[in-house]
Amino acid sequence: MSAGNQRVAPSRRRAVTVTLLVGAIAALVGLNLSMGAVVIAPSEVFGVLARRFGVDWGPDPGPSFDAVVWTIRMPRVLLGILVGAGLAGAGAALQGVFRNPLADPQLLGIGPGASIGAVIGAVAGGVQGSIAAGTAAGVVTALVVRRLARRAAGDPARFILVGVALGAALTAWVGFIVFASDRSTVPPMEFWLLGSLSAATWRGFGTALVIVVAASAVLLVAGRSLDLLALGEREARHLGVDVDLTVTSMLMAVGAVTGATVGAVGVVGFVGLVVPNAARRLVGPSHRFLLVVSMLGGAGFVLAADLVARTLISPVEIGVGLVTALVGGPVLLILLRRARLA
Amino acid sequence: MSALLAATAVTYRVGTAELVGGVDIVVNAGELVAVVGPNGAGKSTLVSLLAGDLEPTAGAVHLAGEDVARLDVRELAQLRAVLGQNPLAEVPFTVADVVAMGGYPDGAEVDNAAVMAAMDVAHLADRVVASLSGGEHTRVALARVLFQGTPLVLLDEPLAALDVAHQERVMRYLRGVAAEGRGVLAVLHDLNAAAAHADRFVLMANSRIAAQGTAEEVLDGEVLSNVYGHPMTVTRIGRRLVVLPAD
Repeated sequence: MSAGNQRVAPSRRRAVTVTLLVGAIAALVGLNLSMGAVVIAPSEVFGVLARRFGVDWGPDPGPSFDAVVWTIRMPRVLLGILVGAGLAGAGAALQGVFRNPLADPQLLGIGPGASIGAVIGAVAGGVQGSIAAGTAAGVVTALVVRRLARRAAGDPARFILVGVALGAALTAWVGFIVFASDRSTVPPMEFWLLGSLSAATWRGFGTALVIVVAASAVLLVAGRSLDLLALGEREARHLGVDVDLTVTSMLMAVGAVTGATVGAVGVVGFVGLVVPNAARRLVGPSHRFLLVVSMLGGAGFVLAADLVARTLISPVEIGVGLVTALVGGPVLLILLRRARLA
Repeated sequence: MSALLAATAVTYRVGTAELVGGVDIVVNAGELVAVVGPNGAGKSTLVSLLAGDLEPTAGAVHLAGEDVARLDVRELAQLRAVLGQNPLAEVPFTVADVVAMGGYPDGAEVDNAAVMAAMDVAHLADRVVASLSGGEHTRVALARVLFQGTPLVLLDEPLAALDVAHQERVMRYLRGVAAEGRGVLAVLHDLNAAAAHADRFVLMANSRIAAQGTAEEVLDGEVLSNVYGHPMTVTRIGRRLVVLPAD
């Protein structure tokens, strides 16, 4: 009985969940740094990291392993954590704002909208331009989605269909711009469709970090209001929540997180759908915990997906979005079935 | 005593349709006021206007002397709590969580456990609200509204889906809320429950107040028959007025 599970000290359940997730993330970071086209022993990974922090511990793996671990894999791992945490937190927030467990930043078209900005930004200013313009376009698209949501209110599945239609149209525009652009400055179409962490750099990570952390902080602060919103917008207002302000600031933050990740790694789907729904089963609906656990789970999910994407048919890489969709597609089907039954 | 709620000539129009017209209502501290009338008379729209959810087309609503239109959501939440219709159907939180949400606006101190016991939901504390029955939803929503601890409580059909014992329990509790010096305005369909517990009646018909006053003044067979469009008789059993639809 799920009700019975809830009663067995939810605080302990949350503590166990967080501990396990942090442990899993640490293990996945280790695996991602060590595995790949070149397999580097954990002791050598440790040696590289120790020397980077100025300590002469462990074996000295030499400059080529240092380059692989520190210059190539480390920013990729950190970006994976950032993207996963950001998208999963954004998904949890969207599901709370729209009171719809099917909501996901990519499914609702916010990711595709952000990629239009990101493509144009990439032409103008490389990865930083891509992240900045992606952020701006993500915010705008999120506010457009809010307008569309008003018209589709009451039918969760229909609302998602509206988002899918919006996403398809926006993705077509991304395609036009990509094919009309210089291949050397703009990432290829599959980057915008499936996402990829392969071009991760410290610079890209740093830029995305600032935006994702700031916007995610907005989501965490508003968590309590999201709980009240679950009672309904009218009831939340009766309890003193400024619903318009809450929803607008949440959606702008979701748009910023999504846009920054899209600018950095393209459109990675389903993270914001799968992870918050799983997290809700583990720690319940209260957003203070749901947001944090979603962020941790999202980081782990993307790290695991990227590990598979890099090593499955190594040395060839597949898009990380292919792996997340492999999990996300069936989850969406299950959620749709449940939404129809309800 | 100052009026907790004062509505003056409140009117609400949508296009040419007048949903509420020229309504004057006062709720004083210590009073339990029942708003009654047939379906479509404008009762729920009136509650929305009094709660500040809707802005009157004409007239004004004052809470504790302040114009509702000038209060922000937070101030409103500290002055009045509202039970709307169809509360809480799909809420994924537990009963205890939902009742505790009533404490969000930092209103007056109310004992959470006492309210939950009074609404007979204490034994449901760990249940998820979405799994409850209709009557249980109403009681949980009531507990949340009462836990808000506001001077004024506005209730749209607080007895919906409640069995007769729980109806009586809720009405007695609301009496007690009024006795604390707070004010309660409740839209009620059960005229007999209203007759037994309310200090005053507001009878609405066709968007306007048809009669206002004590049970003796408003519960009149002829008036009710006209308003409800069905013959009604009013009799007395012991000290209570009882309204019955005639054959």
